[in-house]
Amino acid sequence: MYKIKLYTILLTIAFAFSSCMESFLNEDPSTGLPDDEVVESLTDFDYVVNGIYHLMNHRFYYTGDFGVTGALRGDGYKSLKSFNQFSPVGRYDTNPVSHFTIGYWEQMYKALGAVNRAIELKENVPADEQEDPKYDQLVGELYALRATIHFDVARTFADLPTYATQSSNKDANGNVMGIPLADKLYGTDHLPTRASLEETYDFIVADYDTAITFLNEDITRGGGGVGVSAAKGLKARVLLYLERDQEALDLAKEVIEGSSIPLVDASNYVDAWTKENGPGNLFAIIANARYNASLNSVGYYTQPDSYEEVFPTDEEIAFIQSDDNDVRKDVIITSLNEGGEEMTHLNKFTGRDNQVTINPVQVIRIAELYLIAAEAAVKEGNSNDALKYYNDLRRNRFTNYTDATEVTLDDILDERRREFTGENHRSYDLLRNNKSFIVPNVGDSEEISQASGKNLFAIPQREIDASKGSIQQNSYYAN
Amino acid sequence: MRKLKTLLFLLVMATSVAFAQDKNITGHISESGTDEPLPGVSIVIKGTTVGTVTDLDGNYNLTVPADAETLVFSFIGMETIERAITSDVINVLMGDDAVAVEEVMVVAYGVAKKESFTGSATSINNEKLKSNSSVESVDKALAGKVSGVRISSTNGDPGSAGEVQIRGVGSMNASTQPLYVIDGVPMETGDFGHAERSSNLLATMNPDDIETMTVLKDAAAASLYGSRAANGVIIITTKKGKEGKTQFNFKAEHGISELATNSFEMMSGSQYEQWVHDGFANEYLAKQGVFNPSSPNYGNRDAHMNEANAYANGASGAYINTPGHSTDYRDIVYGNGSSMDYQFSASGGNEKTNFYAGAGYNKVNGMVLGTDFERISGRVNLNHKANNWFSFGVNQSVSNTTQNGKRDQSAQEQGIGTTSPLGILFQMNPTAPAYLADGSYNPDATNPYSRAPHPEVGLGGTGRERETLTTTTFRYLATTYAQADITDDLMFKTTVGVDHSNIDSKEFWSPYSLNGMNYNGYLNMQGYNNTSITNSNILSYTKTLNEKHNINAIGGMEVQAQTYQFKGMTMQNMPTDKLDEASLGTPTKSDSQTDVAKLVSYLSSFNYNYDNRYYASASLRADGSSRLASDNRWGQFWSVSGSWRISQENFMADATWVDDLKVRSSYGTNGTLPPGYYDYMSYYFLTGSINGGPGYFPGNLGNDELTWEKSKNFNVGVDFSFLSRFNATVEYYNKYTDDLIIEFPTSWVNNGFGSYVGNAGSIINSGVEFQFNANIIDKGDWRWDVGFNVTKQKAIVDQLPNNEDIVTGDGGMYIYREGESMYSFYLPEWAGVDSQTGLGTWYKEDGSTTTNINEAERRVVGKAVPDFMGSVNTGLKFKNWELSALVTYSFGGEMFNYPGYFSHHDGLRAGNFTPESTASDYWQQPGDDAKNPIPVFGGMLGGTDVTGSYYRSDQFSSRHILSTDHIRLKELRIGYTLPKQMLTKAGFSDVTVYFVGGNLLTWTKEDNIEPEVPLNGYRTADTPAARTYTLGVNLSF
Repeated sequence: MYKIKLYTILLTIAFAFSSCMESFLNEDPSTGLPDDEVVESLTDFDYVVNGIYHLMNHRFYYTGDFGVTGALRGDGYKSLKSFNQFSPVGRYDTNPVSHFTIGYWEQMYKALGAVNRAIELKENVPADEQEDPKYDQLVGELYALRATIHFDVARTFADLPTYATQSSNKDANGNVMGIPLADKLYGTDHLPTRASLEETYDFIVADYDTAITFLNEDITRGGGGVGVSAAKGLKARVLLYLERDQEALDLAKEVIEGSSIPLVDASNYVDAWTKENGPGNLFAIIANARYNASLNSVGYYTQPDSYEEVFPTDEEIAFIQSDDNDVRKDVIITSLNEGGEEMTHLNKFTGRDNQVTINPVQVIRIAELYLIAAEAAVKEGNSNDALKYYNDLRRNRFTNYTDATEVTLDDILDERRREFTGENHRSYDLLRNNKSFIVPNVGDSEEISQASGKNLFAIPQREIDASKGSIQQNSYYAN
Repeated sequence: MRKLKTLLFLLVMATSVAFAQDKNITGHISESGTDEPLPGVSIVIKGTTVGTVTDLDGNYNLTVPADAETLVFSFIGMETIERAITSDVINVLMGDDAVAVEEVMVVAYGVAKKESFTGSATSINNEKLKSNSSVESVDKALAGKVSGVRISSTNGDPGSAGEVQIRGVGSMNASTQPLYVIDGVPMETGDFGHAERSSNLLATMNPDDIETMTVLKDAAAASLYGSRAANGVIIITTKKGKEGKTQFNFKAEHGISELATNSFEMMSGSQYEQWVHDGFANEYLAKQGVFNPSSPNYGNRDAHMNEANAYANGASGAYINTPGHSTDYRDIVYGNGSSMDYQFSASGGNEKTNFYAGAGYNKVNGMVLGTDFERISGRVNLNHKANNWFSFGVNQSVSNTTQNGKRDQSAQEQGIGTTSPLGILFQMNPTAPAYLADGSYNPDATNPYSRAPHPEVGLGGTGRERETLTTTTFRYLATTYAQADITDDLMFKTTVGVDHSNIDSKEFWSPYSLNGMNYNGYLNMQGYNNTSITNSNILSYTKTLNEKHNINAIGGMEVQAQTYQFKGMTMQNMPTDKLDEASLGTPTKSDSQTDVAKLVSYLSSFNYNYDNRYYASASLRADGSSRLASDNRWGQFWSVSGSWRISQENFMADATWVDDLKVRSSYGTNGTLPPGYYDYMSYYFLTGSINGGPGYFPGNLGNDELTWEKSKNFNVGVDFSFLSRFNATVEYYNKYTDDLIIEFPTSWVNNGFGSYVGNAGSIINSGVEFQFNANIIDKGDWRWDVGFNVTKQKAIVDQLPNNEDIVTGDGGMYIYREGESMYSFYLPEWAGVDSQTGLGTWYKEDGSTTTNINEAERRVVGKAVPDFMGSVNTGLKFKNWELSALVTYSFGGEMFNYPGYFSHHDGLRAGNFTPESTASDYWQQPGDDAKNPIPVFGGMLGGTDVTGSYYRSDQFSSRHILSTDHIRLKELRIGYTLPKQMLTKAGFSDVTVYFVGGNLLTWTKEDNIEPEVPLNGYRTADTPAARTYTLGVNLSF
């Protein structure tokens, strides 16, 4: 009898257990939230937008490889050692399966996926908080980022607009190919195709326009986010790439006149590279001690006792240091390495918090707007404006400066070379102006130009496979 | 002890004297097998309390009444024997109890008589396990002992993880490891702890505490474990006390170890000097265009040889430290290891309570400088029968292990660490003395472009430049049960298992060390807490109807909740090499995370047999898992099986030579859960501080449809034993696994994810297992047993999504292709060294050869899964001597020799990595049939200088695919047991002295290679297996 009682109790407990089993089996991650619970306030939405900058702070993106791509693929930088951590990019030695190709593409589209998800989630911000100007600013950031990242994909994987008429990278309709547009979230079974180059750039410009209508903070997130000036500046850059020079000039002027960020003057320029976001920053991707590209960072590529992947050639050193009055000569310095040898190296990415791997990488700074304005003006035959912006910048870079009275396109390209040495500009500047050039890592037997075809990265083979061939390969890599 | 025995003896003698009358019986009792006299055996007249015990020489003398018919001889641990009183002298041979009892084996949620079991399972007792001493982990002790089971260590360092695969490879992306069940409760296993080093949770188990391990192979045996059983189940049962006097056992072992094979033999000083010279000479020739078909100098070797030699003579100087000198740095990096093991246990009990208590200390110093493993463990098992219907018990163990060493290289694609043991060895210059004249370390002992510390500095684990990684694991494992007999036939058992591990690791790089310099000193601390609580409640019913219908049924439920917590922090700017605590540095990173997995199960099984001739069984289990979406989380797993004991049939009555003949077959399903905790869910990550604030970003795409992998298992087998000496088992299995967990690629463009986890595809594992044991001699002082097992197996990819190949692994070296084996290598096929030019070549698609690997065709060039594997074992006993040996073998498998890729670099890594001695066989002059191409130095930038087009002879190709065929003397044990008579006088029941050798001899098809590699065939840059020599003594009293 006693036993029966005991078992009745035990069985009751067992069944009580089983009735609450369904909820017992629901478990959520401890460091993540299900998509539908992420945005419940404007603050949440702010964090979701901020998370996109986190994805741009990455080994293959701004704070790593992409941040010095234009330098190593240009004519003034070479790799010293043979670690192959980044040098293959400088050798133009990438193919549809190399991890650089995949890494660049992956990280850029990952960030675009986050942008489009955030655009969907903006509806979850409570209606009253949507009235807050901060809400418009955040929406503006999303469109500005979508435009910027598409532009990064486009200049990496597709022809530049200045080569469109000659390109052999054409789709079945005879259009020069741009890139697949991440204009919204698609299902996993969607088979994307490459938009035409024209559609690609139309999309980029349109997103900047949308962004500019929403954005209301000049500088945001302490320079680590995209504000009005940065969005306009980036749009001006795209317009310059599109050779819509008058629009580029007008917009650059608007930024120069409207922005609260001044040009850093000659006496502060070199030191500014050790400060917060660098000189005249409008928008930078800011690494920190916790999140940085580690050994594949711009700092570890450019400083001695590192991978030594991005070092100025003797010619570049001579060029940058040719004028003693130019303060920018001191962004290339000579120091002793561990072995006691003298090493001459770029000193823009000096590191923060005593760590060479932590550096902000500027997406755009105010100086570029002066150079955009000057270049656009030269191309428009507007020598007044060209001289004005050319001299305005140089006055802040030279000691004892005397204004130039004449300026050519080559002068401006040289000025860009001085201003942006070691940054992500040089190869694009040469290519978009249809120059051909010798790349140190490639060797002097071959010139790189828009016609070489290998100036474009290959489309990752896994993307062609995943899209069942609907994404078309660039002709140089297709065989 | 001995006093007590004598006292008891006298007392019993005294009482028996009082009954002296009528008839006098004398005799001698001895132990069967050894013929040792047995003192203290109790002899009682059946049905009375009248009796006596044998004296120290095993003799007795008993006076019995005239009407007495039978004597009963009994002794603890021995079979009780009854003899009719037919003469005045009755001599008796007594044997071990175990022989008498029907063989019972532990199976899922219970025990079964071996003869009635319809599934496929193999039981290994502790006798067989202990023959391989000094294995710090029990999984490794199974090697070669069970057919159909592959065992491997990923790493020869002490305490590192092992791998077990039962009947092939059941999964591509989910677990391929079996479920471990200890004393009825599923146990956590696997690789927890520091991300950069494998450490094995199984190594926390003290092998000496184990009574038996049962390997469940087919559905009938394993399906009752449902969604975790697709890779088979290993049931561990720990020791239990026996009724009777308390037995004490003490064991002590000391051993040494060294590399089991001639792995990583580097070039000697003179080989290196020659190689350096030739490498530079070839560099010169390459620059003249001698190897470039489009150069006018092509093939014009002789014309430039003098200049080349002159150039080489000049350039070699920087590479040759001390001409004519040779240091074998392998002796420093991979020296001798040592081990010690002390075990103490006590067991015993009475009719109500039994206990086992054990304590052990195990310490292994690895072969690699600075690596060691230490385990301190204790266990108490207690069972109590409160009354005639209620009993309960608890099995508890605690252990603490400490593992010192370095990061390992078990993950692919991470390269070879410059400060890892092998990385250091490869970077040492064989022409450089290791020590200077004053005995200090030679600071210039590395190759000119290397960045490695002297091995004694980099690996030693002490000193100013120390880099250390210590993992400490505390584990508490407890099973508590209560059991009640509700009626004679119906029993209820509730079991609660608690499995808690706490793993702390600390990696410290002194500010003066090579790696630590970048951070001004670096400290990383990681803590893992894993707690798993399981409760099962099982009702079982056993009944025999009409003496012929035997029924056994169980039903019940089980709940398991596992909580996994991680905490980690990273410090920089550690001020000194002397102290390594977090308070001293600047924090750069701290993390924590908690993951929870739950499983709720309902289970039942039904077993029926008719007259012990016809057997039928069925089982059904329903599992609900928190790892799957709520609409998809429940699944059912079942099995049916049957067997026919032909030998029990009447028509077999005349075939007395047949002891047992049984045919059995089973079919059933089981599954494997997805490896991730929340793979099905679409969620955001909330980490990522940037711009001074939090950042949320998409973390997982999710897939509500995600479900478990399902396998359908068929098994048929015959068990045959005959002439009381031979037994054989042959089995065929076929395991079809579908709904494989696969990463489905999707374009990154679509939503920012490149893949999602889903189910598709199938694998077929099939094989034949044959096991044969024979007792060849059992006569007098001699006993000789021989066993043999062989498994022929295949693991074939059956179907893939859209029938498309999946290329995976480091550099895409593996392929999943329909019809091909699992772990197939997919690489350009090496066509050997061109005997005219000395360049490496590969096959192109059209069958011609090329020196440009990019033009070569990728082909399936090998597979890691062997065709045949098995073992031969033998045991020989003569009087008190015992010899046993286990030889394992494997044929038809291949490995990818990843370290070989670095040590056969043909000059590409010259000045950095020294080649292995096998690379000395390189092409010298036209007509040479060499294994390795010409070394060419200075070919760093893609090697285009050499042939004018892309030339990298070292790149991943079938050149680095090697056979794993081998035969290995895995275990050899020689033991001597002191004679019983002598022992008894000293108060001992057993004293055995023994020697155990591990991996004493190895035959490999390839030179200088450790053939036992991880099961995926990827030979890592980690420590190879050890050869061990161990001496031990075991005392029981």
